[in-house]
Amino acid sequence: MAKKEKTAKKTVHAGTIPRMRGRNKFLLILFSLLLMALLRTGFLIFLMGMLPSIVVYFFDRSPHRYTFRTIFACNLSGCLPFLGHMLEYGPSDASLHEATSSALTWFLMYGSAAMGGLLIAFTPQIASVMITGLHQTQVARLQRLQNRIEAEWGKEVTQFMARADEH
Amino acid sequence: MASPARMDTLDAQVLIEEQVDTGLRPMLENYRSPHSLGHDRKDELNKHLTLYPSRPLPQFNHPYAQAFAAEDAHSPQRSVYALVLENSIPYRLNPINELAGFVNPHLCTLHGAGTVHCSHLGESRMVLFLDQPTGQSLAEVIKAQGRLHEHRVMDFVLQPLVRALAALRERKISHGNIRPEGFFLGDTSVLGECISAPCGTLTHYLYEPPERIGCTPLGRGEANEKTDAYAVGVLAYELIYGLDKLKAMSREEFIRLALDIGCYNAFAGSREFSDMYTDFFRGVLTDNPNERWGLDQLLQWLDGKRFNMIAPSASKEASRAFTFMGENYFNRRVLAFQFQRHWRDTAKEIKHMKLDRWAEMSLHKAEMAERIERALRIAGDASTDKHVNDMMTRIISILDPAGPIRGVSLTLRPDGIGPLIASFMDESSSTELNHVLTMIETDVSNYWSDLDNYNKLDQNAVLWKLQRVRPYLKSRAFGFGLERVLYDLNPSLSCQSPLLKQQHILTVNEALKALDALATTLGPDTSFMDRHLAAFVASKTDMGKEIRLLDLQTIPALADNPELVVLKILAKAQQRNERLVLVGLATWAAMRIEKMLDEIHNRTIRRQMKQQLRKLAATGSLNDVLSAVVNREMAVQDHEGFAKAIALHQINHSKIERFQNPKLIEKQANELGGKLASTISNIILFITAMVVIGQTFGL
Repeated sequence: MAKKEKTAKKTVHAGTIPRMRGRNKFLLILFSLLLMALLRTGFLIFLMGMLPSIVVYFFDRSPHRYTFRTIFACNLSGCLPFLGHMLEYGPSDASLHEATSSALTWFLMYGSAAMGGLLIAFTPQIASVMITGLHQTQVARLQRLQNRIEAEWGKEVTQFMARADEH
Repeated sequence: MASPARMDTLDAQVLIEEQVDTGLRPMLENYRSPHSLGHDRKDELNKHLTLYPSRPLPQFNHPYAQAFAAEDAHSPQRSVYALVLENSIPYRLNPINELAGFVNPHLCTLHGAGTVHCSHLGESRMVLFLDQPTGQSLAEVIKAQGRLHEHRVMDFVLQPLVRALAALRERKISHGNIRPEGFFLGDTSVLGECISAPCGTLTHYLYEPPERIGCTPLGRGEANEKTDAYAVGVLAYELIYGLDKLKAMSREEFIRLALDIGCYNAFAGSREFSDMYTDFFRGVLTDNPNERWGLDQLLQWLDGKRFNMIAPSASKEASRAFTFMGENYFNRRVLAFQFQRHWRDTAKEIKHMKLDRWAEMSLHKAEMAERIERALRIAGDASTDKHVNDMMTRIISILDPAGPIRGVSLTLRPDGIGPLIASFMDESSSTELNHVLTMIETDVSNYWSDLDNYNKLDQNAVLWKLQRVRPYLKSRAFGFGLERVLYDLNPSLSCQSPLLKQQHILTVNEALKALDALATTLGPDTSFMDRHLAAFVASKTDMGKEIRLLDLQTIPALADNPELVVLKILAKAQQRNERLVLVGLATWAAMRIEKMLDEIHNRTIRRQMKQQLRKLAATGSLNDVLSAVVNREMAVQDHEGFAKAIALHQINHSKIERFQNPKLIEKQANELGGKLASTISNIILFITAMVVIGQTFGL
């Protein structure tokens, strides 16, 4: 019994503050090693470009980590041109300098992360409007049904409701 | 549930449903009952007997009837008077039926008896139309002339009186109220009527034999020829010797004297009766009813037969005295009388008095001792007042089995219980009423009757009735309880219901017809919830089981509705006479039921039921009207449907609450927003990746 409770507590904890699974950690390390091998010094620039995602990763403690996922995807989208450039021209100092000295590169990297943030900020409001509309339709339908029940059976059916509400 | 097609119109229906026009009100207002209440023929009976309320005859009044001048159109030359009886006390219905039209020169002829609407009272009553006695009453004669000569008493009083009693006996009637005021000396001597008051209620206690003398007047029960013979003896004694000396004594003193030395000795004292009367007084003033003269001996004596009777002697029963309250008693009957007089003191001490030992050792009555010991043992140590009183009554009955049943404040005979209940209910004397009811509950009457056979055979019928009504007392259901006991023990009592009391109703059919006639004035606001009405009808229809509306079990508000139970009782009574069509009563009942139908939840069923009430009421059958509401299928349908409706309403209510919960909306919006943002960002990533890959690898 005690063991079960412990397991349940662990599940709840894992659900609220998810941790990276071993397989993901392995893939991340593998991906990082691959990038390190391909980009060399550029890997550091890539890490700097992905800094917003790294920060959000530690701050977003929600179960599904939509904020992190969104900002990560946007941030990565912003870093992909830099990665493409590095892969195309190789990790030479000149191409590295060219890419890092360009304000556009940093704007793309951080701007895309900011766009992810904006997405996260506005989509719940849009979703709220959609859900409220949907619920209102449902409530109207149910209310019509309630009225019909009361018409057929009288207000007595609501008395039990009132008692339940008091409790 | 209603079909979806009908659902659309239900919102409108709920507004008009409460105003369903059943058409019952105009139907009741326009109804003219074929059953008359008799108000159109005031102060008249059978078209030829007329009562004159403006001409009272107070000399014939007594506590149970008022006398007025009257006329019989069939024999206008005869002087007739009318006695208007009280309707809260049972009267002697059998003697009234037997004596109607019976002619005897020494009896008042009863020209007619029946329910008459009395204009001076504004209500119907039982009225007796009797020959008005001519001449002086014996009371007036005694007052005017003092004592009468023995021969005159013999010729003018005893001869006609005993002949009149013999004539009554032929009709299985005893008089029960022989007294100087009720015997008239005119051209012929006439014995006054005996049907307007319960037996023993009009006489002086000296006229009652020892087995009845201590009783509350209404508790004396029916008289018999032996009690009449005793009264004849006392009447003769009063006429010849006078009762002044005995009347000067208090009632208790006389009873004690009579129990101690016997009635004959109490009356005779040291007096020597003449030869003519010695046998007579010894015969009629005997204490033991089994040895007392009856009418046969009286008639033989009047015809000249001499009996050589031995004077009853004062008996000293115990070899040693029983000391009670500082006084020695040798006579157990006197002891029983004293026990009742000092009830509380006796009840406290009786367990320590060693009464059983005295009965065994001094009275030499082992069986009596055993009974006393058993009565004491059954009462136990930690007894309630009720148990102690019951024990006292039983012990007193054991000591004096020939006497009446003696309670804490009442003395009665079993056939007096009915009239006493009627009287106490009328006077609202709850304490006395409770004592009588306790006597029924504890079945003390049967115990008393089993003790000895002192002329108690005439009590068998009432003992059986008391046994039968005992379980009814405990029931609180309509048609049972105290009211049912009242009507079962008093078959001649009119219905005491406030609805019908003024109509003087004696039978179920009369009750139903009267209710039908009253429907236009009482309905629909007057409820049928009336314990007297229910009990009266239940008693007359001999209903043995409580009415339970099992078909309505699923609707407790209707199943337990007492008004519906009373209607069911009335419907059952109507079913006994199928030809009785009562449209007014049925409409009144339908209007009452219409209000009850609000307990049906389903508006559609309710409406349909209301709409069919008029058609059912028009049949004039209460059963048909009741069938509209006492319907198992409808009740189950309504009950189950209502349960489902509540469940569905609750589910919908919680759904609505959930849909309107802002926290839930926020949570769902956040989740959906997150998913949306995540999806959009993934799409952007995918497109960007495709573009970058394309550019990088020149695809």
